[in-house]
Amino acid sequence: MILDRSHRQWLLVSGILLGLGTVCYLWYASGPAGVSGGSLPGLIFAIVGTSMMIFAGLLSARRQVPTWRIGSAQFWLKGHIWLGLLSVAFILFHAGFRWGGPVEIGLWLSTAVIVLSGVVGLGLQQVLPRLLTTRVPRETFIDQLPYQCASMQFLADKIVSEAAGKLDTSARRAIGVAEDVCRQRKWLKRESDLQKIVSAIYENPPQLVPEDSGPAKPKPAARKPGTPSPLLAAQLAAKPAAPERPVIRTEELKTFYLKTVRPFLANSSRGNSPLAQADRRRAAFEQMRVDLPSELHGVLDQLEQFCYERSQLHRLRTIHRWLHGWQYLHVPVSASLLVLFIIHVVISLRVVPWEW
Amino acid sequence: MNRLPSSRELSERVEIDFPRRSRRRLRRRLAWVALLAVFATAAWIGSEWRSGQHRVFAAGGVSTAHRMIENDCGACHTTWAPLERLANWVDPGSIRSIDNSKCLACHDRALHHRDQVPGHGHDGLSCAECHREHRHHERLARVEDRQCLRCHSDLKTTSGSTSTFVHSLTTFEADGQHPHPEFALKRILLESAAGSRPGPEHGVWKVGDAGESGSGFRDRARLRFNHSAHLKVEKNSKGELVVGLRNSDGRTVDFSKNCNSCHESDESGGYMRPVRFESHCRACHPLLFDNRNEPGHQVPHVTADLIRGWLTEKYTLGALEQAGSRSPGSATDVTGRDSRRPFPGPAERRTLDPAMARDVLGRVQVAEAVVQQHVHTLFGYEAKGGCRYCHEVTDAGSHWRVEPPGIPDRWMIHSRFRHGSHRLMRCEECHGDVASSRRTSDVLMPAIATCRGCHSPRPTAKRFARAAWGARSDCVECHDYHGRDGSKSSQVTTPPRSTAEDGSISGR
Amino acid sequence: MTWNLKSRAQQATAIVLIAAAVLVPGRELTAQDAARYVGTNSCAAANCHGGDGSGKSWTSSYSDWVQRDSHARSFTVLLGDRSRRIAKALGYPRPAHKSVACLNCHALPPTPAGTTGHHLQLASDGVSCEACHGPASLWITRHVRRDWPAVKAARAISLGFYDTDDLRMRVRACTGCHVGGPGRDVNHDLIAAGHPRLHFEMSTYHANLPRHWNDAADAKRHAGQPAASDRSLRELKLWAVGQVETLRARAQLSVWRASSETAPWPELTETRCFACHHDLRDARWRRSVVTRSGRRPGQFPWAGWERSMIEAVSAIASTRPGAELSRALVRVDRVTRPVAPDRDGMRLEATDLARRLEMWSEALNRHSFTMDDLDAVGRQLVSGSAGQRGPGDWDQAAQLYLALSSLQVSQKQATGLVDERRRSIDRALARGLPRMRAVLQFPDGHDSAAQLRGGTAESDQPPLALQRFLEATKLIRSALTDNRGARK
Repeated sequence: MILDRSHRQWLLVSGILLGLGTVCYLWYASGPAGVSGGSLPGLIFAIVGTSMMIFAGLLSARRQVPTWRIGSAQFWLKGHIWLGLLSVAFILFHAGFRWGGPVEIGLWLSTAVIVLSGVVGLGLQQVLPRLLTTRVPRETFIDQLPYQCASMQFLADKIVSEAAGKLDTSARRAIGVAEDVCRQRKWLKRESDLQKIVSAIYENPPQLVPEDSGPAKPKPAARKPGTPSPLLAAQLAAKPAAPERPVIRTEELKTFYLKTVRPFLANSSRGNSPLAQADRRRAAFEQMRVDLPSELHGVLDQLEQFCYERSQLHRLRTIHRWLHGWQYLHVPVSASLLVLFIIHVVISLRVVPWEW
Repeated sequence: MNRLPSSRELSERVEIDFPRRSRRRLRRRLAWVALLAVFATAAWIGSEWRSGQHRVFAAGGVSTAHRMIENDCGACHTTWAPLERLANWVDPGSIRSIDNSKCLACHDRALHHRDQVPGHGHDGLSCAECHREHRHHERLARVEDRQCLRCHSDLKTTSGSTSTFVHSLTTFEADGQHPHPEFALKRILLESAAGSRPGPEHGVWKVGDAGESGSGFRDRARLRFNHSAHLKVEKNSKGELVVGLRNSDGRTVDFSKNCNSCHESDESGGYMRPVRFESHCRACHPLLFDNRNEPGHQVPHVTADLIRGWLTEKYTLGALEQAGSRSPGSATDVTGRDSRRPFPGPAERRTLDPAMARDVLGRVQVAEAVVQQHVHTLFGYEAKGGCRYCHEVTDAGSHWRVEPPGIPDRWMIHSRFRHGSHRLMRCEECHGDVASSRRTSDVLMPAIATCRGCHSPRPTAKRFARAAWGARSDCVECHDYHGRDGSKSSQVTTPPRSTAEDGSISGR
Repeated sequence: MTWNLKSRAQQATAIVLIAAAVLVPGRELTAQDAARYVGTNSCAAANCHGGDGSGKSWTSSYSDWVQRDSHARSFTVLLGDRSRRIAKALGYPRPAHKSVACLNCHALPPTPAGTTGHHLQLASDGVSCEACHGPASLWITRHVRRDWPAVKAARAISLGFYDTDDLRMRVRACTGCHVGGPGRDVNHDLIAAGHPRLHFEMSTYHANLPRHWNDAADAKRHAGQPAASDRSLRELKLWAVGQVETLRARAQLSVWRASSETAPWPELTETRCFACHHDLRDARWRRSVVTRSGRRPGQFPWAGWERSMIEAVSAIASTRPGAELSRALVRVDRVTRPVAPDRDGMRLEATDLARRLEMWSEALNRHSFTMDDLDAVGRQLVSGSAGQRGPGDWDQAAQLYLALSSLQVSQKQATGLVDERRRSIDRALARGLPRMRAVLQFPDGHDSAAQLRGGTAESDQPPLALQRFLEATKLIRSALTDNRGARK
């Protein structure tokens, strides 16, 4: 949520509420009885603060049920932020600025973690999306990262194998997404094409079984995307290997690819590889261009493109983690806050029907 | 190399059926972690509950004295009370989380004052109103000043009339808005003519002209006592002033004895025991009555009728002894008489014949006169002094009576004091110029400025040889709300029962 | 309208009113009419009982009493030093002359109706008129009327009048204090604090009392059947009734002690003084006395002084109560034997004993004594178990001495010693009684009863005998160390 001028109204209202609360608190605290959580003003502060916290907590409930259209998402988010912050003040008034016992300290710590993580998240939300826009032009869905890495690998494998011959590598993931990739690019005119393509790329391709489109044949069990069907795998395995192309310093290319580029393209690669940074990537590829004949420069260009995209995905993941990682504190701790809150209410108000 | 990708290329990057799949991976993860957090919290709460450590649920540590019951919330708290208080908008103060009966299960309580107006419009204050628990106090009894000032900053009474106490009080220090007034010494009323017992009254009173001694207070005890005749002040080798007690020879001074030789403190080190004639005065002021015939014999220090009885018995028995010794053997001689007279066994008891009786009576009267007289007492066994030397004796024909002195044993009845806490000081540092006081009517109790010399948070004017400040000056340092300082106004419960002479218990 | 008795109506009203004033007797007493003490001021009026002795004896009763009777000084004694020390030793909060426990006997006693005489104005008269004759508020105006004897006979008790003409009533007036009762108990604590012990014998105390009444008329009233018509056996009757009533009062006291919340229990004066307070040397003769009585040595008997003469009284045959009484005595004895007797058992048995003794004293009171009774008692005294083996302790010896003294006086009063036989008895008594008395006299030695009074009792100095002993030691010491260097 971007903090822009649309928050002004919320800010104003929150400020007024805070001012009112402060005035009431000062008047109540200067009284002869002093401050106490269980006194009438203390309980009113507690109710106000708690209702604000409950409102803030309902945001996640609303997300579960998006059809529950009471108020816009903007309203709920703004309310979540401002009322959440304001609730801290009111709970401080309720507690009389005292720490209390172990349960109360747990509440304070939980609240502090929640509020701080939320504030941090909010702050990040002001900065990181813009960063994402400027620094990651090739933004994509974060869930798609594994697929895209695997597909880039497959495509790169294809290009390199066309230039330098079959690759001797276990390409489980690449082959797993091979069918989707080829289908998307409309490379599969016949059922046997997939096996042909896969066999053309890899030296020891697995048997791929094409998807059965006939209604009479029994449908195989739903498979995970990216994994080859058993039938396709079997058919591809039966095809003879394609004739070798003439080798023109392709070994170097293959080595370079298999050792440096391909691991970088994998989903599990680290972002601190030299290929992740533009200048070093350029330098590495320039070096290769110097070493390799110009026929292979086209391949190198495409590989460089792939590396560029992969570095983009790294950046995307990093920024995504920053942008969403604080929620791993914010949400679970708020759940435990709820539990502690219930215990605190039950015990402090002694709302149990038996004497204990 | 970073050419802009076409939309086809961009769309080709994404899986075909991606939009149809649920994209809640993060949310699901968060849900699992949240569930874990909930379980962890509930497990912690549950384990504390099961192990009986209920104190972790309390809003703060209890005071030291209550630690033994800190795991038993029900020992003090009542159920549903805060909700009832919320529901009771009209008079929320009447609902208490702490029912007074729970405090009274262990503690005794006495009302503060008969005319006390309880606060906030409800009858009866709650103990928890002032004694705030769950704040890690060391002593719950140390109530903050502001609880007292709730009433004492603008004092009202139930009868509506103005109280005899000061109406506004905000601080003990001299420079506050409404400082603590000068101490009100207990007014001493002597026994009235009807013989009723004296009672204390409150209020500041000044008796006599302002032209007399500066404090304006008068001790109206019916006794003649002169401190300076008993004490002597001198400078010792270090130049300090020291006080010593004059000895019984009237001439020498013993500097190892001073105030303590008459003013002994009680066992708890709080107050001073009353001065008693038998222990503190008789050594120098013997009550001789017959220096010729009974040298050195003294009458007991009792009322006039008992003195007369004592003297009569003494002289009668003496006369009987003489009569018996003059006629020995008459005890067993019953010839011609009724053998039953007198009763057999003990040596013969005789009654005085009229001549002997008149003689005894004369001697008793002479001795009484000697005992009463007001002659300057020489010390030792040649002394001649008697009752009138110190007491007021009233005559009513043949009966004489010593007026009860009416010496108060407590001067400031509305406060508590411990001499033991002040044992590093010398008596005269607080009790003024005792050694130069010559009259009984001099009141030698300290004024409030004396106490403020140390009992203030800031250094005040240097009052003593050493500069001292910082002693506590909050209300509860000296005053007891619950009336255990002995002031009778706060004793609204029945007085303690006394044991009658025959052993039966009776109220007074 | 004036009362000039002109009209018939007025006359009738006047007659009715006057008749009512004359004829209607005093209204019946209700529960609110408790008799109260009024004091001696009224009795002491010069034309009532405070005369100068020139008229009848009753006209100077008060004067005689206040001058000669010790009871008039019983309050003054509380002002003395000994009383002060007793009160202090017992921890009484007030001095003796203001303590209720002392005033209950040394001044007017509390009545069963709840009247007390502790006020100083009443108490300073001591044991005054109303202590024996009853609280006077209800009968003080009635007793001057001519119909007083009839009223007295009918309603004495309800008016609060104790008729001391009746010997039983007379004894009870004495035993209330001289034996004890509720709130008037000279128990061991009091004796240990310095109070003299109580040993009451009616005829002796009666003889020692100065007469403020017409003694001749009293003797005649209780004459019985003496040898001659102008003689009287009153002394014998007084002795007999006194003994039985004293024991009865003693039994009642035991009942009260056993059931009271405030009286200490076990109470050491339930038994005899000399059961413990005797010479600590081993004495077989004393042990044999004990075993004869059916007890083991170390077990406590009950009430030694008061029951010493009961066998002698039962010699008066016509009123003898029979074996039931002695069995009742034995039962009480049995309860008293252990150190801490059973309270409920004591209450039960003592109540039973008191009831029987009451019946016996009533019979004795009604009985008309004869010369045979006199002789029978005399024989029983010198021959019975008290006579042959000798009395077990001083109490029994003193009671025997006093009984024989009463016998001597009674014989003299009943016969006038006209008979030679009577004269020889009298001579024998005159010779023997002084010797008995000499034995009864407490020696003046260390730890003796001489310390009960006199200089040694009140002082902190060692007693006279010990002082003589110390002087002797000093003498010997000075004699031993006198010669310098030459030790003997």
